[in-house]
Amino acid sequence: MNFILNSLQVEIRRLTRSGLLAGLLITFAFFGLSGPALALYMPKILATSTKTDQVTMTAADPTPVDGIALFNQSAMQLGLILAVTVAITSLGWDTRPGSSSFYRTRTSHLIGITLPRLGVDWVIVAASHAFALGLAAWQTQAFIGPLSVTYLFRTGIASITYMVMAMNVGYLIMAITRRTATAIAVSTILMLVLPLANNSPATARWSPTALLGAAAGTTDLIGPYLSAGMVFIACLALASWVTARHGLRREA
Amino acid sequence: MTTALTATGLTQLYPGGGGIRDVNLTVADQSVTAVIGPNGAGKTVLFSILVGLVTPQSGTVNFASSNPRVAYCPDVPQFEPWLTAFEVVQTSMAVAQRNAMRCSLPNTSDPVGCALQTCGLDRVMHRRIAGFSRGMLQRLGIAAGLVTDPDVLVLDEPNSALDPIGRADVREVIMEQKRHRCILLSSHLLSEVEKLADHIIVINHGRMVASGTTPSILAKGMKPVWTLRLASPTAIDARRFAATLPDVSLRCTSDTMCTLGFSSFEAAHTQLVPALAELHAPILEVSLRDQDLDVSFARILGEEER
Repeated sequence: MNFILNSLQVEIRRLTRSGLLAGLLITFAFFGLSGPALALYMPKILATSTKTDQVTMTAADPTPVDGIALFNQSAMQLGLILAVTVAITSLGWDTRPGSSSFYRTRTSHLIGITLPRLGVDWVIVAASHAFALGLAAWQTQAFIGPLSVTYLFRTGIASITYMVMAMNVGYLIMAITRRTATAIAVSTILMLVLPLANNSPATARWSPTALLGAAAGTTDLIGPYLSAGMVFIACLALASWVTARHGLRREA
Repeated sequence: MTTALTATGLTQLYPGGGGIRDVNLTVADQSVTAVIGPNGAGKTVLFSILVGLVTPQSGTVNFASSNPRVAYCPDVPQFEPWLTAFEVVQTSMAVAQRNAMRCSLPNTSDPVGCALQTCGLDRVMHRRIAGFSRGMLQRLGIAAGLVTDPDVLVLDEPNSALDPIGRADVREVIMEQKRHRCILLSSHLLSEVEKLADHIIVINHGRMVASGTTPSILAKGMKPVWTLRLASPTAIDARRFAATLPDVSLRCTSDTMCTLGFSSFEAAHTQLVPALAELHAPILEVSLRDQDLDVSFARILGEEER
């Protein structure tokens, strides 16, 4: 069997048999259904839970953009961490001496193992997000109002681009550390902290985190797309180089 | 003897201790070479260097083949648990980019099936390995190595987790496979090594302390003392025996168990039979004492410590 085809098959088996694929689909689907629902019921929720003698909070009636924005907020936080974890764990074979030696003694072209697996993860994550976005769009159109296809397309592409870039960042951290828990922890902190770059005018125009604003209507995203692309390629290249240079982990 | 690989001056030391220093070895093709040593002696480090997992700080490894195929089965084989045994071996073959294997089994053309059947895993080939015992994982590691049809097959403790039947099966596999390739293995089960190995290398504290054929290692430092088991108590007169054969020492631990000690194996060559005749008792068994690898191994390490 072809080397690369085998790597693709092994990764598909990992995602399906370990439950990661089901977890991704269910999680994103939940966000897709709950986001518009939350937007729809936000005025009632706030009115009921925050009314006191001194303070009353009200929310404006929801717009279709609110439905998608709330979906994307959850998808690009918890969903993003899940997506990055999928990418990180695709290198799990290199954390154990037995499985690491299994692959490293059979080929010196480890990129034939690692890249197809990561590619499958990109596709599955992108498909999960697109599926959930479709659910969110359907629910929003049914209960809140119509959405333009251009807006949905722009939001989906921006979110998927950011998500795939973040997966590569987590993948690079895993390639360097070869420790799953450490890679997940560091990646999580990075994903939570990076959006702060949007607050600085100097970085906001170019930071990939500006892609997160697509759901809220941000349209000037050329700079963020370019920088996300560069981060994507740089992380992938560096991770491949680091993985090839590693030897067997003695202390594992 | 055709050489499969040669290692010269291999040194790999670790800050926390352990490793190997200045190890030289020559491994023959189509034979079994066993590397034995106490825990932490450096056997796994040596194997890691030979199979290319670790780059030594100094020294070189040269294979007879310009494009050597080396397969390694570690002492604790680990695979991705969601795969079946068939898929693991199939992956092994795909990653190593092999598409054929010399199969000695009849009516078996599929190399993956052949490798699994050779290692006794044909009945569980479609079971996920998450449920495999350690012994089954060891067999799977060997199968995954064999399917790549290697020139050199390196097995680190291949039978440590196996029951006696499993050990016999693996022994049979190794004896069959040594006709086709070089096999390098390590094991703490020296009784197995004695049955399998054509050559033995002894390592201690990271250094090679002895090497040679199995008979020469067994004989190393051995004393010419024979154990006798008699069918009935001997009525030997010790003084008369000593007078007749003054260079032979006779000691009886019971009525029917005695030992005969000689000054050298050359002396035993001429005096053993007369000594047995002098006992005037029917003899059930005559065996050279301490002729097993455990004793030779302890003797070699003891001399090295001194």
